[in-house]
Amino acid sequence: MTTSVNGAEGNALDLVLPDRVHRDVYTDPTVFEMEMENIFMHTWVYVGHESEIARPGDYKTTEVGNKPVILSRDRDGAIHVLMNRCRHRGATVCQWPTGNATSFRCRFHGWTYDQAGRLTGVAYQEGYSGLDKSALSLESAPLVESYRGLVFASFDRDVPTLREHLGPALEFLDRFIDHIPGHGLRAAPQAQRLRYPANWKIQMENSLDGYHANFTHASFFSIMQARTAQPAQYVSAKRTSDSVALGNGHAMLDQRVAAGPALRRRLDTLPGAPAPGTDLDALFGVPDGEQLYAATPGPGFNLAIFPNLALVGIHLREIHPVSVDRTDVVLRPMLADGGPDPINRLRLRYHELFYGPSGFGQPDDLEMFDRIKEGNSAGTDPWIRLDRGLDREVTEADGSQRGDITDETPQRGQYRQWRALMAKQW
Amino acid sequence: MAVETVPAELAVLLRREAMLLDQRDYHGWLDLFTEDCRYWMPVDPDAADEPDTLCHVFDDHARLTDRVWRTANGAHTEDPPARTARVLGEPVHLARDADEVSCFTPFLLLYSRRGRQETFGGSYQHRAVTTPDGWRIREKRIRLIDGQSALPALTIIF
Ligand code: FES
Ligand SMILES: [Fe+2]
Repeated sequence: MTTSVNGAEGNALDLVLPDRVHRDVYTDPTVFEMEMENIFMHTWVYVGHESEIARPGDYKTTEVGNKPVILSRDRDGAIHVLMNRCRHRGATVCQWPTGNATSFRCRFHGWTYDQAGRLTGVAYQEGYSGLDKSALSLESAPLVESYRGLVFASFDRDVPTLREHLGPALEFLDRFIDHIPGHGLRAAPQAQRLRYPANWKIQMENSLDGYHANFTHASFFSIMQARTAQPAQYVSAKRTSDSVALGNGHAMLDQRVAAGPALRRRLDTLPGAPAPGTDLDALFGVPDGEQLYAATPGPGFNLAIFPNLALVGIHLREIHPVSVDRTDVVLRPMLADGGPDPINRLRLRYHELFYGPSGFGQPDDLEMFDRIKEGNSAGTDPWIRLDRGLDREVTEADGSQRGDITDETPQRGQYRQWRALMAKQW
Repeated sequence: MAVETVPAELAVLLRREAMLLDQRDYHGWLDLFTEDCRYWMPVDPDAADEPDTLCHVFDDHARLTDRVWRTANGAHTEDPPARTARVLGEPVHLARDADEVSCFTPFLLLYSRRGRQETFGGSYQHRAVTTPDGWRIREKRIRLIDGQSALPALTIIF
């Protein structure tokens, strides 16, 4: 387990200390290759929401780490995560982002696989002697499980159960999943995809960063102050809310106090928002119109599930590492399943306000990721500081760490899990 | 069948609109829009012409005014600002309805900022209306051919 650290042979684990990380964790290709193996092939990775593949035969193509996979629902309703790589000579067998199919046929030489990845057809098979088709299925994740609609896969059979893995985060996962009164969640049929030319962990850290908002998103808060008279600051030096390292690398940023009432007022700015005083029951044609509308900004906290999922606002955010210095991020807003169309339309407008490549917030995060990439290699101090709030952090009875919303408590928890997985000999 | 052409003054307005954006005269550009306008870019360039679809941009006049302020004054992604150069194709007349005309205009947009260049392409669909002050834009829809691909920050106005 050696890697180059400033040109010298060193141990990847030396790059991550309890209160700081070495800048090479963002730039060293060896570290990246180790992450793709030690982390993404050996823990539960989020792959999609069940509503994206609702019917038998539905599939979508996505990635686990930087490997192309197919998330497929077979005719019996079982979900499979298949490596999108033909067992003949390696071509992808599925190219569409989503679809419905009875089989996947590789168009190179015609080998055909069923929805579960089993090789069912080989062209002109008599050219092979004793070909064992049963040994040539698409490689698949041995473990695929859902937690209330969220589908996770592990390419390693020898991992804790999904429930154990998610355990410390279940309370907040449930709150997110249940945040619309009377309705479950359904993924919007479209997703936004962002790219930035820097390492995936910068996005992982940023989804739980309560320190940056006042500065990175100053223009957003100015706009909202002008439109809704909400405070121009998201947080102050005074402690208002918490951030929590929940355990297993998961973390939570609690904005329910810091931003709660402001979130409700933001709804008044949405294109097509009901005028104040409108009878919302009548407008949405339901008996609980006000509660339904009040749920439009989501549950009021950010939750990150290590390593590649965050639940922010009303969207599921997937991190897709492409290479050591290139990352894609997918944002999929969640709608009220079976809810009134006008409510779901307003949920889309709420999401678009801040998020996506042209939202009033997220582009400024991407700009900061760029600036990290630009500045990071300069100078002799190689350390990225993650020590904010270390001395005021409290360890709770359940083992979680609790800090101020502006503290780097979540990031320290993420890197503890990073280190635990990277240290293991597989 | 007689093919209607885009009124000459409207074609001029579209070219002027592109010039104002390339010159970063965003407030001048905003003046070309009606109070009841919509400026939007669906994620799926082929999405139906209705608002029940996820968009990268979906602005009424108020949100568009905020966007203009942010692009001109607030966004870190415009500090320093991007330069753009756009080339418009010939506008194609789509429909006329009372005082309104809709048309389709292919565009190519070159983007440059801090040494990085990007190319964006697609088409604009305008719905414009005659007013006592001349033609004004009631709706501008952007069909970005890369709308479903991985995109960088797009805080320029298209
Ligand atoms: S590579 Fe797939 S059939 Fe040959
Ligand atoms: Fe941010």
